[in-house]
Amino acid sequence: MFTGENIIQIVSGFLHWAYAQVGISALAGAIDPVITAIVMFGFISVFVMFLVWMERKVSAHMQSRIGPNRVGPFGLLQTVADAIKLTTKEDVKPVNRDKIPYFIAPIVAFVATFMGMVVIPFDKGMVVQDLNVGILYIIAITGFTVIAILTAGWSSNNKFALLGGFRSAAQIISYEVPLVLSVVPIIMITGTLSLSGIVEYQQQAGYWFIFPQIVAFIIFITSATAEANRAPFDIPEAESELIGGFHTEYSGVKFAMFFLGEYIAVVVSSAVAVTLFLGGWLPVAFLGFLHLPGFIWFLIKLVSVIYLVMAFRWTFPRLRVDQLMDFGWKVLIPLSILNILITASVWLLLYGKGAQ
Amino acid sequence: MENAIFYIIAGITVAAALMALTVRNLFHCALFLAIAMFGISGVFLYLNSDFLASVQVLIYVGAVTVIIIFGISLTRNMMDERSKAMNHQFLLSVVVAVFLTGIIVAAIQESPFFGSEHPASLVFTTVSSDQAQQPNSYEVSGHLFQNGVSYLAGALLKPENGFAFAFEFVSILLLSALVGAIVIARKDPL
Repeated sequence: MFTGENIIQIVSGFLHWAYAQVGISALAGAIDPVITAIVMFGFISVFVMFLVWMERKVSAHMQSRIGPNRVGPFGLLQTVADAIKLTTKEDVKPVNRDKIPYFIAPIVAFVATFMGMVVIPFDKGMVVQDLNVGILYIIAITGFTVIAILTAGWSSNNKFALLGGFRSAAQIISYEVPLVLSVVPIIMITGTLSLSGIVEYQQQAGYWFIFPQIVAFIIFITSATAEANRAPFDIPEAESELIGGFHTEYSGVKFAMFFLGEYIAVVVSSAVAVTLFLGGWLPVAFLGFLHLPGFIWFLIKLVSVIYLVMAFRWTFPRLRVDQLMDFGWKVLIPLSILNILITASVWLLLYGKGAQ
Repeated sequence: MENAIFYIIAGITVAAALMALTVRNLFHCALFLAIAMFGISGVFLYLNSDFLASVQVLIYVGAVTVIIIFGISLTRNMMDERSKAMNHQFLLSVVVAVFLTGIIVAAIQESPFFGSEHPASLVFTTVSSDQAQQPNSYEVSGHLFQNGVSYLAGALLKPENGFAFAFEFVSILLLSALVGAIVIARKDPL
């Protein structure tokens, strides 16, 4: 049975053998990260294509339609065709744009979310770089998207893009607070910021954190949906009011980068939810007899959480801007602070001391 | 090699900081400020302090720069190339700047890092999670330096270190400032 660690060992063994054959073993330290990045990029691109197909199928199912079914089996190649169309499209640029920020914004938006993938543990030992401060790193690095969105909206020299950019930034800042606060109880219990460490704690404890921390899970998923600017929190790109929000003036590859970045944000936040609340690569208890490798469990859980996020999009109506701010500041933040307080109190009562 | 990387990071930081001061377009200034802050977090990473680096990005790039962009977007004439870069408090600010530079230079010369070799290897601290509890420590010129979240938290909050009260006090101060800002900004007074 292959585990994630075995696969990594086999692949890196093969790579180092190949380096030795070509005679570049000395450069292994420099080439390995590049290959890892390319593999991650390939994985995430294909996965996002699958997700776009899945989203269209889910939405079609919920609206009693069939969805894409012309290109390839079950319409699976539809998103491939869309991607080819997007990348070969003419790049239309506004004349009075702010040239350099306009060019950099989509790249930053994509790279910032893509860098979040670095610390996601797909399986025991199957992680690009298991940072000590993993969860903090993800929160910090994905915060860059705010600047990218503001820059995109501002440099497009279009009032709808600017309005969309500001709405989006205000929303992301507001929902970042409950997102971070909902993670705090888990860090208090486990006493580590490393994502692998949190999964291993759940393995030793024998339960997933969704059971004691269901409130935190709901807050996390809600805020993560809002952070990714997805419906029902999609006023930044509300088509009927703002044309397309901050990416109104972007087309072709640059639009594709925003689009890809948005879906990677969904993948990263769902992956963090799986790791923190659903036991990461651990098998589902009553299905343990299947003996699937850890990363398969991880992907099953990941797709399930993403399905949940997609179901939100197609079942809830869009929130108005004041409702959105009220919900974030008056409901989610007090609730998450209360959750921290209750968790800490129960923890003290049960064990009489903090973690460690 | 490691020094070269330090000089690249420091060069980017200083250049971005200078650009943030001299560019006339305020929006570009804010973006250069973000680059400078990111460069500082690179310096923290170079010193093997991954927690500080993350917090630097989280607070200064993710929050402070965004607030600054919000602020300058609401000011008038932010794109005006002819607006003056200095106001009547020019001389006063020179005095403050010189004074501040003096303090920083003095602090650097006091620090045990001054004149020592590079204290830590460049590589990210990768630890398996059972080691994650133990802070990585290293020694420079007789002083023991420790890193890691739990060590930092202990240094701040353990009662015997005496910073717990100050820490809580600052938190309450910030909270009251927040509430105060909301009260002042309200249209209908309470």
